[in-house]
Parts: sequence; C-alpha cells; structure tokens
Amino acid sequence: MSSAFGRAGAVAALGATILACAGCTHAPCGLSVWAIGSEADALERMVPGFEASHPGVSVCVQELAWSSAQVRLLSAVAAGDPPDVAQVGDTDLAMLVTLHALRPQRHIADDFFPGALQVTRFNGVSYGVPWYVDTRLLFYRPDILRRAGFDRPARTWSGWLKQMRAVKRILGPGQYALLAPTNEYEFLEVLALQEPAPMLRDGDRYGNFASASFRRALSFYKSLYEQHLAPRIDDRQLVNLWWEMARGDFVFYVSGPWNIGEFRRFLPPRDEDLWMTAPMPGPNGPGVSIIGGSDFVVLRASRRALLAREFIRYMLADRQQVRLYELTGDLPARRGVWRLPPLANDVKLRAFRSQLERVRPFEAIPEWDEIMDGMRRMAARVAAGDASVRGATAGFDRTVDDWLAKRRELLARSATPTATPPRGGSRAAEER
Amino acid sequence: MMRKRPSGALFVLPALVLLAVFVFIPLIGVFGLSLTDFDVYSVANPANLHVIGAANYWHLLRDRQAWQALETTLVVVVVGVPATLLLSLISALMIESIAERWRGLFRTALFVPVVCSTVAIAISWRYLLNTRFGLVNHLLGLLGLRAVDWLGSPHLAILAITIVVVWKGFGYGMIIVSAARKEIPDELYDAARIEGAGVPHRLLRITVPMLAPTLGLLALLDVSGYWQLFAEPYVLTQGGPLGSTTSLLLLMYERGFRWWRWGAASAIAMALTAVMWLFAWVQRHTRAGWRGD
Amino acid sequence: MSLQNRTLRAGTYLGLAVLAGATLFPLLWVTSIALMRAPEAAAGTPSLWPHHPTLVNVINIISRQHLGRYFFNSLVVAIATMALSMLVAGSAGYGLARVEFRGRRMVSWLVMLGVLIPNQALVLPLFEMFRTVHLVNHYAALVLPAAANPVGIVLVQAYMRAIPADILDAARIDGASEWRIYRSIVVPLMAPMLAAVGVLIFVVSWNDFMWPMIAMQQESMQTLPVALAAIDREHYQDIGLMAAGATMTMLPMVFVFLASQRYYLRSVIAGSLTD
Repeated sequence: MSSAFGRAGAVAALGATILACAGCTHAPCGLSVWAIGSEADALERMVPGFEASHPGVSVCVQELAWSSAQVRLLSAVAAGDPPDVAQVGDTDLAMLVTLHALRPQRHIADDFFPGALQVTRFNGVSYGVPWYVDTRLLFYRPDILRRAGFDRPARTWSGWLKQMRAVKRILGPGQYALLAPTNEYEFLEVLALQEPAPMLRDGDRYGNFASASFRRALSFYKSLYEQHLAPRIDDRQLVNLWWEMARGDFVFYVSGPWNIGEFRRFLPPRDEDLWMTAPMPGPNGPGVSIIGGSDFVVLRASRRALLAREFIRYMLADRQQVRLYELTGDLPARRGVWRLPPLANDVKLRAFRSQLERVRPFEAIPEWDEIMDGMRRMAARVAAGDASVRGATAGFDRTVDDWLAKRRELLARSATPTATPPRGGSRAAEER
Repeated sequence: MMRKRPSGALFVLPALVLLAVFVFIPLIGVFGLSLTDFDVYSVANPANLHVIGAANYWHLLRDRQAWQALETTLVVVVVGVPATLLLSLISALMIESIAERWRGLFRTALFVPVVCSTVAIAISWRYLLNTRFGLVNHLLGLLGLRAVDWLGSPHLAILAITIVVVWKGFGYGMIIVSAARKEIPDELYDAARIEGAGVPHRLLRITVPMLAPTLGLLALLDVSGYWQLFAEPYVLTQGGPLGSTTSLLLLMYERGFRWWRWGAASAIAMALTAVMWLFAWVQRHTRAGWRGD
Repeated sequence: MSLQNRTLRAGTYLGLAVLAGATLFPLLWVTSIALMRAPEAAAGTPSLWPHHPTLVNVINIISRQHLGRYFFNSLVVAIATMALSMLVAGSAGYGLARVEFRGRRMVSWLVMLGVLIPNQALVLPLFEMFRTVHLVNHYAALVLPAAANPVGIVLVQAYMRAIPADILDAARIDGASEWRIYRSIVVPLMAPMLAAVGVLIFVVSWNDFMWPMIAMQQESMQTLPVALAAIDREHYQDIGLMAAGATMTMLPMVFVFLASQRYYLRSVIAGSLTD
C-alpha cells in the first residue's frame, strides 16, 4: 500500500505541475486589452467583429476583478509590462494619470455626455475615452407614492422629506420609506455634491468636510435615520432586494442603472409597474448626481497606439454601444446611441438620460476612494448618534489631511521643472 | 543510535529553502516595509519611497481604528477561546461516555464545520442571522423573544462573529480532548468510585486535571487561530457596523490592498506577530505547571 | 442501573443530539435554500424545506458565475499543495527525527519558530516577491507558500521519533544508502502519517482565503472560496445563488472528510501530542 501511496503522490505532483503550466502559455497578441468583470465577458464577444474587419490582428482580452483591477494595472505599469488598452473605472483614472502611464486621447466622437468627458480631463488634456456611464438616482414604488397622495417624486429635499413622511404613515411595521444602506457611500456623496462647496480644498490638498455645505448634506442624511424613514441597516442584511422592494418594504432606493436589469431578472413581467425611476431631488430643485462609469485608456508604453485607437473607435460605434447595453446593461457614454432602440423605448431609462445631463464630477485624485470610504464610516457614526455632525466632520478633516500628506509633498516637489507633474502635466508636454 | 551523515541535511534542504523563502524572508520584509512610507506612489516611482523609521508605529499608537481593531480581536480571543475550550471539553466527555457504536456518528456531526470553507460558513450564517428573515430570529420569535439585530448592532455583531467562530472551531478541540481522555487510566476512576466519589467529583478531581496540559495546548492553538480572524468579518460584516468587527488582519488587508499603504499595513502585521509571540511565551511559561514531563 | 445514572445517560444523548443539530442544521438549511426559488427563500417566515425544489440557483452559479472554473483551480491547487507538502514534510520530518547532521537542532528550532509566525501577516512582502518574479496569478503562487507549512514537518517528525531506531540502524549497517533506506523502509513506515498530513493540507489549501484572494487577481485563476467571496460582494442580495455557491464550496470537503476521516482525525490528534 505504501509504495503505491508514494507513487500516487509523485503522479499527483507531476500532474499538478502539468496542469499548472496549462495556465501559463501565452499566445502572441496583436493587441492586448484588459477589461473588468462582466465588461470583459462582453468585450470578448464583440472582439470577433473587430478581428473580422482587421485581418491579421488578434485581440487578447484579459479579465480582471473590480476589487483588484487598479492594483493590477499599476503593478503592470511599474513592471513595464502593461497592456495596450485597458478599461479603467473613473475613480481609478487619476492615479494612472499621476503616474504618467497614459497617452492623451484626441477627439473620437462629438456626443459624449459632458460630465463623462470632464472626468477624463486633467489640466485640459483628456486621458480616456468614456465607454459607458453610470449615475445614481431614485428607484421608487409609484403605486405606494400615489396611495400617499403624490403623482411623482419631489424635486427638492424638503418635498422629498414630506413624501417620505407621508409614505411612512401608510406603511406597515418593519417597512421604510427609504433604503439607504449605511455601508454605501454613494448616497451621501450625491447629497454632498449637490451642495456648492467641494469636499476638498486648496487644489485638493486638504479636507473640506467641516464646511457648511457638507454639514448640511450630512445633517439631512442623519435626519433620515433619526426620523426612522430609513432603517439603519447595511446592505448585507438584504436577502433579496428586489423582492423586498416589490413587497413594499422600501419605497425609495438610490441606486444605479444595473438595478434595471436586476429588477427584471428577479420580478415577473407583471410586476414591471411596481417600480420606476426618477432623477435625484436636490436641496432647492432638481439635484445633481455623481458620474461614474468606465473609460478606455491607451497605455503610454504601448507600441500599437494606432491600432489601439482603431479598437476604441470600433467599440464606440453605435452598434457596439447598443450591444454592450444588451450584454451588460451598461449605459452608453454617447448620447446619440440613446436615440436608438432598445434604449429609446425603455421608460425606465428616461430618468437616467436626464440625470446624466445633470452630474457633477468628483475630485479626481488617487486618494478619493479611500476618502469616500472614510466618509462612509464617519457618516455611519453620526447616523448612529455616536458623534455630532460638527465634531465628526472636523475630526474627519484631520484624517483626510493626513492621507493627503504625500500628495501635498509631491505637489510641492513638482514645482521644480524636472519632477513629474501630478495632475496630468502641462499641456505643452502632452502635444506631440 | 544515530550516526552523522552528510546526506541528512539533504532531507531537510527542500523544507528549509521553502521556509526561508516563504516565511523567514517575508518576515524580515514585513519588518523592513514597516519602517518605510511605501505606498502607491512608490510603486510607480521608487524615488517616492522614504525610510521613515518608527513613524508608522507612532501613528498606530494614536490611530483610533487600530485600537478599535485590537479591542475587537481581543474580544474574539477572550470570549471565544474559553467558550471553545468549554464546548470542546463537554462534547468530548459526552462522546466518550456514550456507547461505542454511536460515537463515530456524533464525532462526525460535530466535526463537519471544521472542514467547511470559512467563506461559505460565513455566507450561510449571514442568512441565518438576518434580522428580518433569518431563522435564528424566527426561533427567538417562537420563544416569544424580540428579534435581535445580530449583524447591525456594534455590540452584537462581534458577539455574532464570535459565535460563528466558536461554532466552526470547537469540533477540532473535541477530537483532541477526546483522544486525551482515552489516555486517562480507568483505574483512577475505579478507585474513586470505590471511595464513593460522585460524577461531579470524578470530573473535577480526575478528568479536568488530567486533561489540563491538553487544554493548555488547545488554548494556544485557538488563540493563534482566532487572533488571525479575517474571513468571517470580511464576509459577514465587512468590518462594520461602525468598524466594530474590523479585526487587526482585516485592517491590515484594507490598508495594504485597498488603499495601498503598505508601510502602515506592515506595522499592523508586525504588531500582530509580536502579540502572537507574547501569547506563545505566556503559554510556554505557564504550561510547565500543567505538564507531567 | 440507578435512576441517576439513567437520567445522566439520557441527558448526555440529548445534549449530543442538540449539539449535532446545532452543527448540522446551518449546513442543511443552506443546502435547502440553494434549492428554493427567490420568493420562498426571502419569505417572511423562513421555509425549512424547498416546497418546489429547483436547480435554477445551481445552474445560475455554474453557468453565469463560472463555478466550474474555480472548482478546477481549487482542485489543482489543493492536489499540488498536498503532493508537494507530503514530499517536503516527509523527507524533512524524517531527516529531523532520525538522521544526525550538523545544524539539526538549529533547523528544528527554525521549524518550531515557523509554527509561531502568523502566516497571514506575511502577505504584503509575499505579494511583492511574486509580483517581482511575475508569478502572481499562477498556481505556483498558491502552491509554494502553502507547501512551506511547518506543521506537516512537525507532525511527521514526531511520528518518526516514536518509531524504534533499530530498524533503520540495521539497514545502515547493511550499507544501504540513505536514499534507499528512505524509499524502501521509511516511507512505508510513515505512510499513515503522511496520508494524514496530506488530507489535512488538502482541506487547509481548499479553504484558504486571504492569500489566494491577494495572489489570484485574475478572475479565471481564482479558487472557490475567493470567487465565492467576490460573487458574494456583488450578489449578496440573491440568497438562493449564494446558498448554492456556499453549498458547492463546502460539499466537496465534507465528502473528502467523510472518506478520509481515519487519516484526517489522526493528524488532528497528532498535532496535539507533538511539542
């Protein structure tokens, strides 16, 4: 038994080695493209069309996970082995630009949503081509709102509050007017963007969360929990969000476009009228929202910049943009595509169409994600009554200042002509 | 008797190389990193890397999140380890006292959670503990008790995680205690019985003292396991609510791999290791009294 | 039998039954959820049993989430780690227990020190190392560090110490080479312990989470628990899908355990008797 045992071990080791190397063969790529999650799947299905129109070119799509895409791309840039083209989330763009890793992009289409284009610009130079866009707005239950006496969601915070209170009165126990999970920061980010003062100041060198603007947004946020309009739960406590909403457990939910597809996947067609979308209310009228999504970038190290540009142009054509929507539910970054079916026919998309015209870009710095995560934690303490709005925001400013120390140091150094300009560099350096 | 043979070292060489490359060198690496401000800017350009001495450690000392993480991790250890030991002991003694043919069945049943993936276990428990639909609250409801917001309340969430950790872990200790119980000579019990000692007496005077060394070792194993708590909060609560379930390792992971602040994350890793050594040192110096040898 | 003894016995069985219920129930329930449709799974009053069993969740997680691929990765990594660990721990355990050489005490001490280092604290430099040699996203990134597991060595070492030295000495006097002795005498002697170490490492490797999550950044290379946690981040609101994923991650190890209980429990017990 024992020698058979030893032999089995050796065979297993050998087999494992062979299997292990099955994953390490690399076919030569005419163009290497890195994409993330379901977009990578979609891209893979659209690549054959591109290859057919470009004989002799083979495109390799590599799939990354959202959680690690930025790290992977950064490591590849540092190691001098990046792809030619990559999909980059809007918030991750700043870091790559800071590192001087991307090629400037010239005009590729006229009809991008201005907000989407704006987040790709650093010192007036664009470093990415918007691929699809994303924003947050209201999903709501039109029938319950009507029962409470309202035709459509309010346009202002005060009107919205009134509606939520009215709705809460006709709901059963354990049901709430709003779902605002305490572990998501986007809702509060939207509220803060709707206020005039930015969340960072002095060229994004210091936190500005103690400003009257942010404190107003945070107070409004806090009041939603205090008045029991929203439950203090995080989204881990949902079992099936769409069923819960269909049952009337929540009437409003601030979320993104992917939920259109999810609602349809989970609810039977007869329940289509149980949910609707509407633009965000604002402090004094229709509110702005955040702009997100992904861009195509071309890496500076790429030796196939022309082909890369061809590829991006192909993927941004009407047909491919519609195809992307059909495959993933991602909203096209070009406004023209919205006039085509199936986008034009979908009533639930109309609110997104108008919200995308009313967006305000976030502060495009590498530390933004961490700052937003910190803001979420700070806001959760305030919502739980563990900290005052004034005290928490002042404390958070100090934390943010700490996080931005290295950025300040780099900015100070870049005053000397030899150093790397931190935000994309001067225009002169980019013109070729 | 053994003779010195040069080939002996060859047997050990592969293990030594693996240990050196994947344990000892990284340990030195963590220490080195903890003295720098290695961050995402440094990945891009090594010129942005500075040696900053103990600054990361000083930062840690006045870092609220770090203290909270230490407290969280300690709670799991201080509450979880005794609970685990007790459950291991009780279940082992029960199994050893029943008819031979039933032992295998119960042993298997109690041990199964040990071999299950922590991630999968955490996902299952998240639904069990769900405030509105979870079975745990449903059962409490049947008993006439109020629903408990297990994962939503800062005080309960860490308790809930401790329950999951203990639930998954006690079967391991049960097997070990059960093996050690078999080693206790029957004569001891027979003698006690003749003297008329009751069940509680035999338990406290014979079983527990005889098992003490085993329990001491188990305590160290459990401490070192619970001290490295990571997957349960990562899946169950993502460290929330209000950071109440962010363990030291979870904090290290977030600093290191979400925000790419490797210097700060390495300082946490070093602190974690140092405390672990402290535990081992304490165990080593207390067990002398427990062990017969 | 006295009344007191009989109540005690009944109480013991009852207590064990309650404990067994507590350990098994969550696992059975999540399996049952995996077979439910969304409305039933998210019902206000939880069902214990799927009234209209469906495989839709299982099909979804396999076809839409590529669970098969992750299963394959986990299997490759676990088998390779097991095989390599057995080779390494076998020879090192024997070498430390039964072959005299210079520096043996030192090596023994290093191995014991290795046991006391929380390996999850080492992931930062490990990642940097693998990134430098371009082995991130390769099976090797999971197999090699996992094979540097001092516990396996300690287990084999302790087991070999308990075996009388006479057998080996006799072979040495006969002039057999160390390698021959190892292959034809030692390996058969320690086979039961090696098997125990193998099963232990297999299960540990299958369930490992933090390092695989860091080292496998490419989705197609992720292991089951890592992929499950990633799917969970996006689909946590879909209880049926996640229950199916959790069940399919746990079941293989339950089967492995049931099939190899004898060996597995031996390694657990031996682990407590070593130092």
